[in-house]
Amino acid sequence: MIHAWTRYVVAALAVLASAAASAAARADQPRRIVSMNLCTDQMALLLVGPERIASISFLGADPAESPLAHLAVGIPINHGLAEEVIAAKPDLVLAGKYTTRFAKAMLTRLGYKVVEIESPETIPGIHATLTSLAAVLGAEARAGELLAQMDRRLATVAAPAGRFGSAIVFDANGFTVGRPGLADEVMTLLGLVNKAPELGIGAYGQVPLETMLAARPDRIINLVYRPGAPSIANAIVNHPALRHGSRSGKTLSVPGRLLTCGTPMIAEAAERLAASLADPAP
Amino acid sequence: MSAAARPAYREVRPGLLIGGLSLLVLILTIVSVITGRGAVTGGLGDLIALWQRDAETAWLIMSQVRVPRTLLALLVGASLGLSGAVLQGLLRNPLAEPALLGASSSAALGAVTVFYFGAGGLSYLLPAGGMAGTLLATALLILLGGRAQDTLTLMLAGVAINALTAALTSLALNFAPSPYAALEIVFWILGSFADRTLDHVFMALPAMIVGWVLLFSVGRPLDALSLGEDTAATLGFDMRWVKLRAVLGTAFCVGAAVAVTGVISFVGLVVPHLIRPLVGYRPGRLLLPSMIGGAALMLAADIGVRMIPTALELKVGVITALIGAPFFLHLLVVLRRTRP
Repeated sequence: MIHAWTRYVVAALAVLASAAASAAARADQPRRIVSMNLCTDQMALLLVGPERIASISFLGADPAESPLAHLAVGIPINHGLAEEVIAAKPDLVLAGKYTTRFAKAMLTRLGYKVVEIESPETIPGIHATLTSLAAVLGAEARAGELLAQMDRRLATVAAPAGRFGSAIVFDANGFTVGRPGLADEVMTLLGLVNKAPELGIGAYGQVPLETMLAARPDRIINLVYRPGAPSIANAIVNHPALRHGSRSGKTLSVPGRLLTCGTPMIAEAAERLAASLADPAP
Repeated sequence: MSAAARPAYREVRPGLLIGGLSLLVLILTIVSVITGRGAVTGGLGDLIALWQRDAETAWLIMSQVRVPRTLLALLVGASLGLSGAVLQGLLRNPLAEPALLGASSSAALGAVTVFYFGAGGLSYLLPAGGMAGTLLATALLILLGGRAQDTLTLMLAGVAINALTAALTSLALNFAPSPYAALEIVFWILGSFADRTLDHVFMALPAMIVGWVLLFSVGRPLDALSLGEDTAATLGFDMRWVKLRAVLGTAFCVGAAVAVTGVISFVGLVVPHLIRPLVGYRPGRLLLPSMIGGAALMLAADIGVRMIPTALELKVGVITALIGAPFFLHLLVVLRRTRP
């Protein structure tokens, strides 16, 4: 009884403390953030509460695309169009580096504050990007928390280089991930050697099925993306040759949405992959 | 057939013709199995090297990637060559061909509907979807053509059916739940054997065999039909029944082929043409050589897409159209001269 009572007090104190913290938040903090890009959607949702986000992209609200879609429930969506952004009356617009080029140019011309974010491809990059975005949003403490937690989780699953042999990502249409790339970071961390750079792949590229088979990776990694929707592109992922293509004869699957954007969600991808590496069952 | 206007090729003994074509197919089959993009690009030498280094992988590539592809090219080429020969005989029109008449693109529409919205990719319903599409288009064509079957009506009906089904296919792909679907129209309109599996072979084969049987059963009636529909009827052939078998056979062959490899045009046009003089312009005797010749042309085209060093592998329909379209134009000129 006393125990429960104490918990209430602690909880109440915590609420008070966080309220005080947000009250102390600087007045210049953006309170109507509009994000136009899947990756900035995820970063914003991680860093600030949904009440400060006026709109996110339709991709960010789609559970097949974003692992954080559950946090976006109730937030209006946009399709990266300038008029949608203007209608949302933003005090800050977050956009990707390479997408919605014309909308960004128009919004800048109209005097909106537009911040362009390039989704990072490495773990140090995740640190740098999240920290600098947090400074813009006034969420430095939250970013520090998220990054520390990510580092802890990654450290738990880290393995010495080459501990589990070689691996290659083989996705729809035969796309694979080279270096720099989030999947490559995860592989390296887990003690897998990525075969893609050996095959002349840059950051991202297609590799013919035959080339992939001849490279004889110990593991094939499939970043699963919308598995329920049939397509010729995805058919290659189920090609019978893949069942015998790697020496362990086993394809490891990770939800691709965890590695679409460089966010602390990389830790979850690493944990899932580590679990299937350790799992002896076929 | 206006035999008199043709260059005087010498008729070849059937055994020699079939034997020669079969030998050609055999050689092309071997070349197809040792040709690839990726691990083993340099042909036989490379393959032997890989075999010595890593026999298991070499076998995996041969058995799971090259053999299915080669088998499919053989079967699809044979089906298209045979269908083309039958359609040309049935419609007494040298320009008849499954793709030009819209039978193939209708099959693609049927297959796309089943593939993206129905059975979820691999299923025996896929060839059924293709067959339904072809059946509809071919029936429509026969109805439109009526008794006259003049070239203009047929070709224009084909153009309209092609345009309509291509538009509907594009529409269906854009509504498909898969984000890749909209871009996959290239596969459906130009065809490809790349990375197809033995599953696809087994999916298409039963329907194709039924189609072959039906199409071969119209061989003798087609000979009679070359003397005119009325003459054929007096010779004791029920032309409605003959047409039904030909249309059903085409539907089985083309529907199954398109369902697993997309639309590949002009094979059914070029092959019967090249062979016709060699069999003495007899539609019935054209069937088997056209079937084997179709397989040979398709294998050659598929070897071509793997040998041409483009960044992404070409679709096989690009090669057949590059060969077939000029051939078609040449035929138009010849026809204009002989059939004013």
